[in-house]
Amino acid sequence: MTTHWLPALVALPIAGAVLAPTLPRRGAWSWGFAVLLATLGVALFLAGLLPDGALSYPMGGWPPPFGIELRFDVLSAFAVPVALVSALAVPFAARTGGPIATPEGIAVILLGTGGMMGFMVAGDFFTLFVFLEVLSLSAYAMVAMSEERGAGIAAFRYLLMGAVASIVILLSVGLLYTLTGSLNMADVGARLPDGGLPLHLATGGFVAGFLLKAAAFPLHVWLPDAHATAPSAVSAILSGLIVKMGVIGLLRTPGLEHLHELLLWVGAASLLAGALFALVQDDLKRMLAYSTVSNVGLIVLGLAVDRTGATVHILNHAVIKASLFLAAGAFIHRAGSRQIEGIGRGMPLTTTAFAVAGVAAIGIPPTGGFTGKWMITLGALEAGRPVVAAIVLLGAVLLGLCYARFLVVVAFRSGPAEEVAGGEAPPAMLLPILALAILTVGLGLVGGQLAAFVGP
Amino acid sequence: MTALLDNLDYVATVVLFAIGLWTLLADPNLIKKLMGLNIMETAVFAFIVTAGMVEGGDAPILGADVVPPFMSPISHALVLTGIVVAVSTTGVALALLLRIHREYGTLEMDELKERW
Repeated sequence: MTTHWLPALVALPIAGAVLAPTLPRRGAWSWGFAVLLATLGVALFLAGLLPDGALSYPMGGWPPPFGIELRFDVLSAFAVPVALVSALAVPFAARTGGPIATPEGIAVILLGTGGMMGFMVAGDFFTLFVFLEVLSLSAYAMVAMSEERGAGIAAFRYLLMGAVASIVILLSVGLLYTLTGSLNMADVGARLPDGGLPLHLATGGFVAGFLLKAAAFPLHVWLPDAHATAPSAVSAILSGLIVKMGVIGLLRTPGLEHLHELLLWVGAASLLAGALFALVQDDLKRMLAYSTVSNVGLIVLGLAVDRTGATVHILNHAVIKASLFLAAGAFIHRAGSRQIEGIGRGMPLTTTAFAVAGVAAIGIPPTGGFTGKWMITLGALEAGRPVVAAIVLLGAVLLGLCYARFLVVVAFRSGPAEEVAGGEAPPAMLLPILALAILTVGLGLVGGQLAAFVGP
Repeated sequence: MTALLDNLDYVATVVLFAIGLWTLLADPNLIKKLMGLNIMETAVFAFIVTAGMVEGGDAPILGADVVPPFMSPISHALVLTGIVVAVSTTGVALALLLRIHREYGTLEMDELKERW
C-alpha cells in the first residue's frame, strides 16, 4: 500500500529543524512541540494502517529495487514512541534552560528525531547509513549542548567511537553492494550468496557497528559519560531512543540468524555488567546510564531467543527510561546541583513517578517492563538455556537494588537539597514525567495486545 | 600470494584502513585521532570506488556499443554522499575540539586526564 504520509514522517521534523533557528527565542519550543505532535499524528496514522501489511513508498515514482524505497513495517512502528518522547522532551528542555533551550538546541532535537524516522523507514542500506549519520551527528551535538565541564570530552569520545562504527557499517554496505549489485534490503536478501568470506565480513561489520551504536558491553564505554553529562531532556532521548536505533539496525542485518550464539552471550554479559556497574554509582544519572547498558543487553539477548519479546522491550524501555531521566532531571533542576538527597520530600508527584518507572525498569507486573522480560525469559527456557534465564532474573534483582537505593536517597535521606524551598517542578517539566510514568503502567496492561501487534 | 597481487587495489585499501585505525587508537593527540578517522574513511571510499570497476561490464544506459572500461555510477554516487557525511562529522568534531581546548587548554590525552 502506498501513502504520501510516509515521506512526511521524515520530512516534517527535518523541515521543522531547518526553520527552528529562524524563530524568536521564546517561540522556538512551541514550534518544536507542535511539529513533533504533528509527526506523532502521522506516525499513529501509519501504525494504524499496519494490520493490512507493511507500507511501501517509491521515492520520485521510481519502483524498487532501482529507486529509493521507504518502508514502514512493524519495526518502524517504533516511530510512535520516538515522536512521543521527543515531543515531551521539548518543553522539558525549554524549561531547564542552557543551550538546549535556544532555537538551535530545539533544532538539533528535531533533526535527531527526523534522522531516527528516516533510519526506521529506510528500505535500502545506503539510505539507512545516511540517516544513521543524521541521527548520530545530532546526538553528538545534543551531548555538547550541556554546559557541564567535561561534556565536550564526553561528546568527542562519543563521536570518535560512533564514527568508527559508522565507517564499519558503510564498509559492510559496500561489501553487500559488491556481492549482490543491489542496495534494496529485500532485493539484497533475495540475491545473497550462501556463504563465503565477504558475506561473513559484511554481516560481522554490521553487527559490530550496530552493537557499538547500541552500547552493548564491552562497546559501551562511551555511553555513561555522554548520557550522564548531557542535559536531562537529551539524556531521555539518547537513552530511550537513540541507542535503540543500534538494535533496530541489528534486526535489519542480513544473515543475523547465524550469529545467535554471539548475540546471546554478548547480551548476557552486557546485562550483568551494566547492572553491576549501576550498583556502584553514586550519581543518579550515571546509574540510569548503566541501567541502559543492562537493558540493551537484555534486548540483544532477546534477539537470539525471542524476537517478539525483544521488540516489545525496545518500545517499553524507551518510555520507561525517558520518564526516569526526566524525573532525575526534575530533581537536579530543583536542587540546583547533583546533590539530591532528600529532594523528593518536597516533590511527591515526581518521586511517585520515579518509583513507578523504577518498578517498571525492574520488570515487576503490571508495568510495561514486565512483558518483554517475561517473554525473553520464557524464550530462553524454551530454547533450553536455563543459565541465560537465570542471568535475566539475576539482572532484574541487581537493578532492583539500584532503584531501591536511589529511591531511598531521594525520598528519605537528609541533605542540603532538603532545605531548598519550592516543591514540584514547573508544569512544563512535571506533566511530561507524569504522562510517561502513566504510560509505563498502561503499556503493561495492554502487554498481550502489544505482543500480538509486533508478533510474527 | 597471486591472489594478493591480483587484488593489489583491495590490499592497499586494507593497509590504509589499518593505518587510520592505528592512528585513532594509539595517538595521544586528539587532532591526530581525528585525522586517523579521516584516513579510515578514505580507505572505505577507495574500497567502494574500486569495487565499482567491473571487468567486461558495459554502460548502463548507452549499451554495449561504447568503448570500455566502465565504472558503476552507483558506487560513485555512494562515495560522494559518504564524503559529505565525513566532512560534516569532521566539522562537528573540530567544533568539539575547539571547546575542549577552551576548557582545558590542551588536546593531549595524557594532559587531559590530569586536568579532568
